Amino acid sequence: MTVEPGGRVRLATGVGTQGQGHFTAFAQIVAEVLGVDVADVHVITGDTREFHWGTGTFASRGAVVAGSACQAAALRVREKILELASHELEASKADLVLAGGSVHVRGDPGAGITLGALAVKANPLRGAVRPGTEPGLEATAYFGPDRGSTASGVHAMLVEVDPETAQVEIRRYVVVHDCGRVINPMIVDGQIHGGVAHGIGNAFYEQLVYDEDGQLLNASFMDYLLPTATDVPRVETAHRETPSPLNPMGAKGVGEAGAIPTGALFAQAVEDALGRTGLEICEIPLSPSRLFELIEEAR
Amino acid sequence: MESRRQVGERVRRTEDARLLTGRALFVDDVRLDGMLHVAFLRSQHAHARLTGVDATAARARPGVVAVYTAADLGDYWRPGPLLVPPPPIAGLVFNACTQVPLAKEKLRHVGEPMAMVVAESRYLAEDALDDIVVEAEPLPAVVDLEAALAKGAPRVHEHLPSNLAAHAVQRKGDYARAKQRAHTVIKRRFRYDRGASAAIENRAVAAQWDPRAEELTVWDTTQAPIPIRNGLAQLLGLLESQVRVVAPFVGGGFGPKIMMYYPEEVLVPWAAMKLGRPVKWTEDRQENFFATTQERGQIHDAEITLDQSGKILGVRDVFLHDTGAYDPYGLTVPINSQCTLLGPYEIPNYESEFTAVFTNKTIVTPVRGAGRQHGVFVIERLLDFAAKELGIDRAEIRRRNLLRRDQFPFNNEILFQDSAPLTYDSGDYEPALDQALELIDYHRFVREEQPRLRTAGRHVGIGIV
Amino acid sequence: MKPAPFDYFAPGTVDEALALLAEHGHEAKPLAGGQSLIPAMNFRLARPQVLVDLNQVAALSYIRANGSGLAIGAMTRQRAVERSDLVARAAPLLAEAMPSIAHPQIRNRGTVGGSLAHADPSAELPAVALALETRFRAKSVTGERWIPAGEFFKGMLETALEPGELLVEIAIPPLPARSGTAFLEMARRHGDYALVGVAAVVTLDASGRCQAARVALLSVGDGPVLASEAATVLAGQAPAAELARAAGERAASRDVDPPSDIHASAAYRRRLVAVLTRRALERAFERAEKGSGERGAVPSDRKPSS
Repeated sequence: MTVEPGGRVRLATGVGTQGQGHFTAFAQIVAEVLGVDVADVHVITGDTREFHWGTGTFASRGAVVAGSACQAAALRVREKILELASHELEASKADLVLAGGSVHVRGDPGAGITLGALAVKANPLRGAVRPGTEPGLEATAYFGPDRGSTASGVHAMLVEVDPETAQVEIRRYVVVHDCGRVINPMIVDGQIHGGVAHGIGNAFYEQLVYDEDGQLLNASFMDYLLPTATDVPRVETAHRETPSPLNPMGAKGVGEAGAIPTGALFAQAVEDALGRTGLEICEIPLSPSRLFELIEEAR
Repeated sequence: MESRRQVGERVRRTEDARLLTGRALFVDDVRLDGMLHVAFLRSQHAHARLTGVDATAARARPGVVAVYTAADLGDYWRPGPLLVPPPPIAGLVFNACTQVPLAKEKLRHVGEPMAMVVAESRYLAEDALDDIVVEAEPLPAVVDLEAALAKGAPRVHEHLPSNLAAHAVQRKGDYARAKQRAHTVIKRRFRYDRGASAAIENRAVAAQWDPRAEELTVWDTTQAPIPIRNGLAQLLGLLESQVRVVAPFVGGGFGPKIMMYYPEEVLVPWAAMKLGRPVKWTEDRQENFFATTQERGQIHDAEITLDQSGKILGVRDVFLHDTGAYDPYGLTVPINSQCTLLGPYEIPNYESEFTAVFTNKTIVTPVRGAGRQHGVFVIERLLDFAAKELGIDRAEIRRRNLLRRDQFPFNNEILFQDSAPLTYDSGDYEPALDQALELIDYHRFVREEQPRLRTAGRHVGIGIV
Repeated sequence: MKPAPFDYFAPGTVDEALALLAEHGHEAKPLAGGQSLIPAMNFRLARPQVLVDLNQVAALSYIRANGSGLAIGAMTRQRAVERSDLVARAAPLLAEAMPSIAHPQIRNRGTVGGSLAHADPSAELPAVALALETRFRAKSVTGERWIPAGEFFKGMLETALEPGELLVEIAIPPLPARSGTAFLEMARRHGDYALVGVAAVVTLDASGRCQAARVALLSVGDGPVLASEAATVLAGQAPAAELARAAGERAASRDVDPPSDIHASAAYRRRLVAVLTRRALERAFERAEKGSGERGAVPSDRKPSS
């Protein structure tokens, strides 16, 4: 992480993005620590020229691993800012405040210096770095927790089944989710909604069908059915936070959670809708045709 | 004025303006002077002996710059690395068989690449695919998991005695003893079938070698650019600093894009260096169904034992896991299934045994959920059937088995994919259950609404897991 | 998924198009909306050497009322038919079926003639055409002929059109008085191909009994199927829920031998035939009994619809 002479903050990380909102989430973490605007934090990922170490984005690790590393780097930069600013402003570090892209003496907003100007000062013209210091307002941090953290949640659903055609319609879908400390609730909602859509697809629409010769019979979206916007209900979400003690952010990861319990939920709710029959659903995915078969068998 | 609170706020995403107005770079947007395009000749057989790939006519087609088969790769041809060595589970049997850049001697799944055509356009490259003459002797395909393990089944990897890719048993407590005290035993067979990740963007790789700067640039739809950079540098005999891998905006990953050293990923940069021209391959949607990894066929024979009040005494689960034609990603998926079956519940005695099986299908690697779905399906269904048998409400039986807040950190003892005993760091499950019950108005629905709807001829059901 | 090489022509008149088709015979395919042909070409499942693009032939796009009913040019976009007041009044069954055809984007380009000539057994228009006793006008360099719907659909993706023949128009006869129509289909997702679909027309006599009934089914075989056994159940009977149910059962057990595929088993398709036929007939009866004078009359307005 680097504060640039223009005052913007440049953050590079090895944890890339495929749409999860990392550009924003990481920026929020940094913005809060350094007292800058989220829009002034420029996040660079996915380029090995910009950052050298790391594995990547998977297993719902982004917020936990990279989020914690971002925070650690930001805290180190903050420390350098305070150190240099206390020297420049002739004030003690405890009296300094970071806000609005500047650092100033508490109670005297006029007596301050912008982070950009401070960054210039941190890069001495004659290359003469004061002993015991490093040039620039820059830091690199790494984070690897001892163990994985455990997120949790509860999903609930109301479904209606047409007993004649075995068509299933979702009437309500509720998720109560705990992914520890939430960085951006909107992004978490997005991850949950996306996960639920994925889960609904896997439970009721998607199935790769191989014949006995190993030929895939549905290698196109005409026959491999993804749920569309009209097939996915509005997901009502509630958040709970039990912070993880394993990382300074307290975060737990949310990328996959929405997709995990949907199959079990479908099976339970559909059995419940059909009432006191001998029907037991022990397989996923289901389709109306397969459900019809199971209903007939149970009869 | 103190710095504003940002963490926890619903800040609008900064990247969306670019994404929504088409100003974001995706790999297929990469256009370079003199760029060539690739099409792969892929196996039509799920299982076959490959005895010849004749590209003579294809090479002669105007607009075709090169056609490569396994033989043309020389020393560069080698199976990919084992990406995730399995954790040190006692008594583990694991046979690593990783994917190859182009098939040699054997075809192991439909879509496995046999030849790479590099031409002036993708249209011409696809025309040239028809020119290639393939000699292959079809073999019976290994598809069904149980048939795959039967004696005399055709073997996907003939150097192995069977199609067993792995066998692992993990235990906690003493299930056999727990079963003796059981009031109720529920036993069922469960099937959870495969699916694709179906990201909106298919895979793509573009590469350019600059001979003056001696630098290779690779654009790749990967979730792991740094390991790809490191691996490619090693494969191509370059310094890591000579290789730049860029994963620009990627249209969805979900797991298959963290599978690494796909054939296309190792061949496109190699071809770019060999030909001295930029090379690009963009996967089409049909290819994606064969050539990008998938997930999730498993068969579970599971059993739960409970006391009269519905408290779980133990669970035993024996399952088969379909790993596809190769297993470069180790055992992450079935171990996740094994571990996540325990869920938020207190299960003092557990025995979980799985056999991973090679089949003649596309490689299985983690896809969003990565095997956790399977474990969750099994335990939640077992609890539902137990609830029915014991006459306990579904939400109530779960409540009785949830871990309590004072039990954290909770050690579940069996090994997790991070090679440490599965430990839950923190959590508070019962309030979440209560909140969900309240949001969906569970009790009122079951008591009043559902009977009313049923009388009106409507079949509405409620679920909670 | 790039198509194999092909030659391309874009004639401006019907005669030019026919000349090209005559010249190239089996090697040529006419291109209408392209919503089925282009994907097939991209998958290289279809490899015509010559594409004769009909999209510049303005003369093939019209919706008109005349003495013998409704005339629709083969290149008329599905979306135009969907929005046409003329169609809504003169052929309500057709209007009702239109929204079930794929998605609006596809209907913007897809044409009525293109869908009918493609003859996909899961398509809506062939079954509607069969139910409405539509006649098909085919033209070639040697002349023209009329083909009744019952003879037009020969099998899976196969019609009675000969090489060099182009479908140029469909003619829908006016609905008799006291008729009711209904279209119903069941699909996995909105816009998907139907698992099963029903197009029903019932006509009542003066005493309110069923004088004629045509029930056409889609997605149950190689092409649209006229449920003649079901029709015999209805003949001469008074509309009733029990009658609709019986006709549905008969259609399912005697009129179809549906295929099993990855989306639906044969048994499930039979169940859908029974249920959807019953529901469609109930709706058609209701509409026939409610009746509306305009449905029996042929609109005398001779202005072509936009």
